[in-house]
Amino acid sequence: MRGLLRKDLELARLNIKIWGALFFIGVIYLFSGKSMDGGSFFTAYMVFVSIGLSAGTISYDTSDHGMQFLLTLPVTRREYVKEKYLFCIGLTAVLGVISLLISMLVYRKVNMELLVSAGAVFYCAILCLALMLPLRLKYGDRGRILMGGLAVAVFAVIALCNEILQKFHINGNVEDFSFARNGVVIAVGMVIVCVGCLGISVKSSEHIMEKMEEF
Amino acid sequence: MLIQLDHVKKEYGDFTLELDMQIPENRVTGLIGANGAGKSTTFKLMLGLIRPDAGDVKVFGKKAGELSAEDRQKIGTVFSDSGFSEYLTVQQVGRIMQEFYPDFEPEQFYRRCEYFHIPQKKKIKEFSTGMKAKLKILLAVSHDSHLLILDEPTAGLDVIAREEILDILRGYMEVPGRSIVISSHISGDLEHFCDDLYMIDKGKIVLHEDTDRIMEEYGLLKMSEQEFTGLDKEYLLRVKKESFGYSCLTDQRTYYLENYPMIVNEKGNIDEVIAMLVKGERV
Repeated sequence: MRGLLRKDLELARLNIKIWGALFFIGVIYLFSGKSMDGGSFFTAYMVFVSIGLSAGTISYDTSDHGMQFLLTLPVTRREYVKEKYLFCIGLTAVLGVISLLISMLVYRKVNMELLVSAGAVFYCAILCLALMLPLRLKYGDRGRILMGGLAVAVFAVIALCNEILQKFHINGNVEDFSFARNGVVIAVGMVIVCVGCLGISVKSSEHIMEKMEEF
Repeated sequence: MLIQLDHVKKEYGDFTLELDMQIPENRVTGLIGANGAGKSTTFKLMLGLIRPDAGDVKVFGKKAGELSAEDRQKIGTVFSDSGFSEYLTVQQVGRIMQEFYPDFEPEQFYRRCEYFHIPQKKKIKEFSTGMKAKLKILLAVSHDSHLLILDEPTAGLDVIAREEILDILRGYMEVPGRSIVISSHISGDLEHFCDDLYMIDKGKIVLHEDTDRIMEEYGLLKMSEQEFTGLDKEYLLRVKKESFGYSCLTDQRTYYLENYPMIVNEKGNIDEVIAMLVKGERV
């Protein structure tokens, strides 16, 4: 797995200029935002940029039949999957923490709202990766289009649910659900959902890789 | 046996690969055939990249699909159309190889790259075809592999580049216990390099023979219809009707030289042997 990690780090370095440009854009938003809003946006922005760039290493792996050669190196298909998740989640976490620390330094305070917002963003990022990685492995670059379609579908389902709740005179506020008043319950629930989704995602990706014969 | 394919079958639509093959230690085995004959499919089966629909593929005594990362450290692979991402430089690839192979020797690798004029700081996509091919071979031989699997490593190269690559491989074979399986559709690459040859056509092995025996004992007989009628056909492998009479492939050229001195008796080269095996009729 060390070889795969080294490979992905070397591939990520190829885009150092893009990383730099995107980071610069993020910094502009950071300084132009009001109070901590800029900090929240900067953190979320950098987290999702890192998802795109880290998951993009799959494109490098699969271009020009590269996966065919990669799988002849001292690595199993399961190791490839595990490394990809470790790399993407790890890089996202590192950049997320760095962005958060930069935001705190800029505004010179530790704000609970910023921390909660960063936690929620990281949580969404994990769910996004859980969905994206199996699609990218299965469909290659077409997986990006599928992700876009899925995002639209998710928003449509949320809108539909909102309509249904409205019909039953439920405003959809969190306070309407008694169990949701307990922050600990919410946090534990979110962790369970996150771990569950990741577990299903990893198993799906392993299955996709085990069956792969077209490179 | 380093590699064993037993009654292996793999189907792709209207193409079926069906063969048996054994690759022993200390041998250079060639696999020759036209484009689309099944060479790459055979190699993918050996490397566990695809699964057979029937039969067994064993490498180092294990099923190819169950090779561990440690097993794969003993194998060096070259594909003509696949390798490390071409956006990487040789230096980056060297660092990656160090993590994959504990016995990778970076100083020796970089020295060899310098010897073959392979730039270390340029992206691989900027290399010529010959440089890319040499790099792939150098990477495959730069760790202590026991087995090289080379799928058309000299494809698209000029004569000098092909000879340079074959020289690297001859150097690799000087260490006992190693084997190479190499495929090509260019017979000249394999004639003077391989110990034995498998000839493959439409997914089937049409011939497996020691290279020396093919070069010495296989021959093409050319004769008129009358001469063909009186010919002992026991040692004829294939026969083909020609405008002048018949062409015949034999693996007992000396017998016909001694007993039928009037018949045109030519030493067969690999291309002619393949052509007769594919296009000729069995007697």
